[in-house]
Amino acid sequence: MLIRYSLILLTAVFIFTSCKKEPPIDENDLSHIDYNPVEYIVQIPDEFPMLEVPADNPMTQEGVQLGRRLFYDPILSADNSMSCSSCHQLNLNFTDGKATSPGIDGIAGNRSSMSLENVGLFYNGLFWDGRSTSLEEQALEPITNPIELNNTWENVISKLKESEDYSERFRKAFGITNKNEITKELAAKALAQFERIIISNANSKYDQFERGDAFPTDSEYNGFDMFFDISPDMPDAECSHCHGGPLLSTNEYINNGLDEALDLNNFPDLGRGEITNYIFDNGRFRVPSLRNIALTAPYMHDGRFQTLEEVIDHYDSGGHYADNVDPLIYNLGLSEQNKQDLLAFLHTLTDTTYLSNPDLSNPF
Amino acid sequence: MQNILKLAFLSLLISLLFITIGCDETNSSEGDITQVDVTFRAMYNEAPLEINERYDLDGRTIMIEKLSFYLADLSLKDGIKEFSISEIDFIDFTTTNTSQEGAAAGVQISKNTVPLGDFDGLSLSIGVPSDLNESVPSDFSSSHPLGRTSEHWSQWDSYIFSKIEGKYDTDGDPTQLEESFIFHVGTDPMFRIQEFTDMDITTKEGSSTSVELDIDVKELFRSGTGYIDLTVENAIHSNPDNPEGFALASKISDNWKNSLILR
Repeated sequence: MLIRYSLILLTAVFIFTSCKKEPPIDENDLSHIDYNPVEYIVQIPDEFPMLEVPADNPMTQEGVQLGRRLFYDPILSADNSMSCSSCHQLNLNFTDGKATSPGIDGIAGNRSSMSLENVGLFYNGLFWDGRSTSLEEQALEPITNPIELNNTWENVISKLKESEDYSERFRKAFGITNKNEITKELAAKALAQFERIIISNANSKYDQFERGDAFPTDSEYNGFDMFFDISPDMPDAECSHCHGGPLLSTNEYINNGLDEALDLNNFPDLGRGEITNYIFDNGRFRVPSLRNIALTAPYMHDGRFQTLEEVIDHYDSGGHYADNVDPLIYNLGLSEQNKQDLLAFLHTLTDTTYLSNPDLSNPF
Repeated sequence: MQNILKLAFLSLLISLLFITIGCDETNSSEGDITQVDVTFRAMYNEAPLEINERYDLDGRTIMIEKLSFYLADLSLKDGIKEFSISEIDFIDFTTTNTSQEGAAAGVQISKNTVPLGDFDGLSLSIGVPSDLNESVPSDFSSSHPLGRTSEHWSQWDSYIFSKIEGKYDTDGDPTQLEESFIFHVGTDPMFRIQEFTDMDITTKEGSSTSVELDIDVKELFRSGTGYIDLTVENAIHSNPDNPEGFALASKISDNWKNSLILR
């Protein structure tokens, strides 16, 4: 009888110890955390370009949420004082309202913060000079730039590994099995996924009257006419050659006549030329989107114009000569009324409804 | 009954064998193909044109800063049949002709599935065919020739078939070129077809066949027996509501067609 009970007890102990899950031997091990990423469906207006997602960085709920936290988290900067969102603030249409953006040490950069609105839909280079060819590549740079977050990726990765929350999120987003697999490339992928959801609606007054859902005022229509060169009876303001298409940007690189340069080496900022080393690219910059342009002052790559009125005056003047100033930059001869009409039209491009997307807000 | 079943089985086996052999024959016929390379070069005064360099146009200094066009329906002909090399491509000398080497190399369109044989003609079009011209860039990926937002004019509901942009001198001192010209052409009436006949093109196995086409850029400015006076005609957007612009756009479209020279 005793032997019988002993055998039952031994069996029970054996079963119990067998079922008990061993704690991870490696404290960096993440394999015990579930990895079941869920696809993130990005809503894009029909008239917008396609969202082209790299095959090695598919959009997932987990990836987007990780990228969102990284975007808003100041631990990406050397002194924990600034994040990506410091220069790309949601309430300023993902700009910072400054002419040029100072980094953590207060050093002013030489260029203005570009809006991130629809940034995932631009495929001809990023930054004012187009030096990055993808969001994944672009996201790596501000962390180490001395006039931005002035950090090192080693430091950032170290902080991320120390965080149980981030470690878990990296596991859930990318399926890594160990904290040591957290890399700058994965952080950049997550940031890129978040940036790909910064998609505006096509519901500005301009969009509405293009669809026939709203009527522009006479002034707005006249501005629209000049912007797109509709009628030969109105002056052609030549705007839409560069600010055409659904995103109101062709994403090309042009010299819009901001600085005189009789010698093409004499631009204060070489812009695109610094990347391509082609002298005729000196002084050329990426054409920004005009969606929500009324919200993103100051204007131009160096923020030299405080108002849209100044911008219109510049284009009306024909700008300054350089051999590579764009042929479409010339004295337009606009009347004051023409300028007011153009301004009225530019204000029809405002539509902030997309900013209420909860996935875009600060999670902290 | 058993014999009938045997016969049916045998028939099935033979049929399968026949189909398999048939498939092999199809595969072998795919070997009777080769590559054809069609090269486009922009020329000015019989030399490769460099973008952003100064040239003389009828006594006036000009500089071309942008030169591009849509190439459609590039095909080889053998008298009866046509073989398509390219349905649609975007030829942009703006980016290729920024050096002498690039300008001399030109822009190449290749097709590696051209059948072997003799061809006596080549046809191509400048512009976007009307069926494709109903589409918009957002219908295509960014890498597709028709996915370029910079080459579509929503107010015309048309792609911009060709662009010629640049500056010209007005004061006799070519150091600075004071004025600009912009010839953007689009909409279905501006579509032009060019055909070359009496050619002798033989595609051979194992070696690619080259066809070379020059665009005489000076001819793009042709007006009657002379050249366009840029101080008078310097901008078009082929707005259908603007008869003068429409006439100039038609002239430029004809010039594109006539500027093509088969070497």
